[in-house]
Amino acid sequence: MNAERFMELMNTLPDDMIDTAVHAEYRRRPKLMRFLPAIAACLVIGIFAAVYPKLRMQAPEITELPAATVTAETTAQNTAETTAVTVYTTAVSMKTTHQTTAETVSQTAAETVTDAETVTDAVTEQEQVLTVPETPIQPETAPPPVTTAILTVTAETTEAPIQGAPESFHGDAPEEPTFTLPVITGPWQKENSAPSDWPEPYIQFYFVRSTPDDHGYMLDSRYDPAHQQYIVVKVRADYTDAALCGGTMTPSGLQLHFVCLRPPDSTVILYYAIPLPDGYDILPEDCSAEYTVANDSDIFQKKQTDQPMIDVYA
Amino acid sequence: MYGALCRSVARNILGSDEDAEECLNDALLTVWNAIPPAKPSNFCAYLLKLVRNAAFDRYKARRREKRGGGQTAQALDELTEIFPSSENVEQELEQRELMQAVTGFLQSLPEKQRNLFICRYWQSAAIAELAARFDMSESNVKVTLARIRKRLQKYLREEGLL
Repeated sequence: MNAERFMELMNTLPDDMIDTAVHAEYRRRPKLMRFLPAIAACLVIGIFAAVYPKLRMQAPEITELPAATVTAETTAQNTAETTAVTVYTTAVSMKTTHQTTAETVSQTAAETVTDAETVTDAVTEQEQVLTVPETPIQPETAPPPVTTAILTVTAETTEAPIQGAPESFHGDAPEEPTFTLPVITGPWQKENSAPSDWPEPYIQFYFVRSTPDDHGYMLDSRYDPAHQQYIVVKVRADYTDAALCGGTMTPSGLQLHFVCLRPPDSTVILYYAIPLPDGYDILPEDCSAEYTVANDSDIFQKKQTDQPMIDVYA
Repeated sequence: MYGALCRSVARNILGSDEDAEECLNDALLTVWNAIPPAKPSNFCAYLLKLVRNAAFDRYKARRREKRGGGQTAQALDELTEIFPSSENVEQELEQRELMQAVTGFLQSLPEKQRNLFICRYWQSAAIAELAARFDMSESNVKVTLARIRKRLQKYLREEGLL
């Protein structure tokens, strides 16, 4: 048998086999079909790139709250014995996705500086779990005058008269506070890090209206069930240490006072939660803070109290 | 309906459109004379076989006149590695046994390879045409056909038919 004969004999192959073979077509896929996987991959990457930043914005932490604007004004007063420097820090606004409405926080701060140069580096964390008076105290009539303007505090060169109750930073209080309110000091986050590249010692206050349901700001166990609303304040100070000394609260506002310890060689971040009694519907924009800078660690320790208290006025 | 397909089979064997047309006419005349009484189950394959037989007859006649050409000559050259000479011509019974073995071998092949082999050695389709129809490169078609031929040769030797 030769090849030619074999080809002739191939005519004896089954009809269906021949019919299938002569009609067989294995066409290429259209070009568009070949690019479909690449197009799908590009679409997925594009969608992910668009959604991923939004996902990252969720579940914010208070440490990431941005400060929109900070303005500062410094004036200096020279006297024969002391030097007073007053720094006003105002208009810190913030916006979080954690809350339904944007909250604008404005604050005022006054800084008093002494000429002493004593430096203390040691910083210990404070950890306190405090209770709030169980019986909410209703504000009384005839509210005393509340100082909301920026105050200038004279410098201190002697021991500060702080023992027990916090010092009043509004000058002479018109009357005794209706009651005092303990502040929950946040040990959950106190960070010391290198100071920011800021021309002047830098301090910021963030106020947030919070509830025990707002996870992430504070530990739930630290909230008193008697109080459903809190003002959480975050302090970021480029100082060796900082602490809340006390404050005053009226139905229309809250003012806090802090003390900072020189030198400004590190950044301290503190958190405090101030419970809001019934009838004190204070918003973050109604809150303000002032701070005193102590050059001497002894003065700082005296101003710093283990249990910051808020004087509540009706 | 099957005119184009029959024409392509004849043209592949003869390499000439005119000869292919004449083969198709001869095949149609044969069909006219054979049906009835013939009742082919697969009319397409029946018609294609008639065209192919007519084309081969014409091819052999032309070859005798030393006027060969087309894809058939190339296909025959490729098959000579399996069937090197005409000295092994056996009797018709052995040829039927051989084709039964070839049919069994083709049925054992994957469908695409089987179709490729039949299109090349039954339809005498060109390599380029096969490459287009089977979505393969021409070199890939050649390599695939070479491997099938080698497997067929091995198979036939194992069966004692070569």
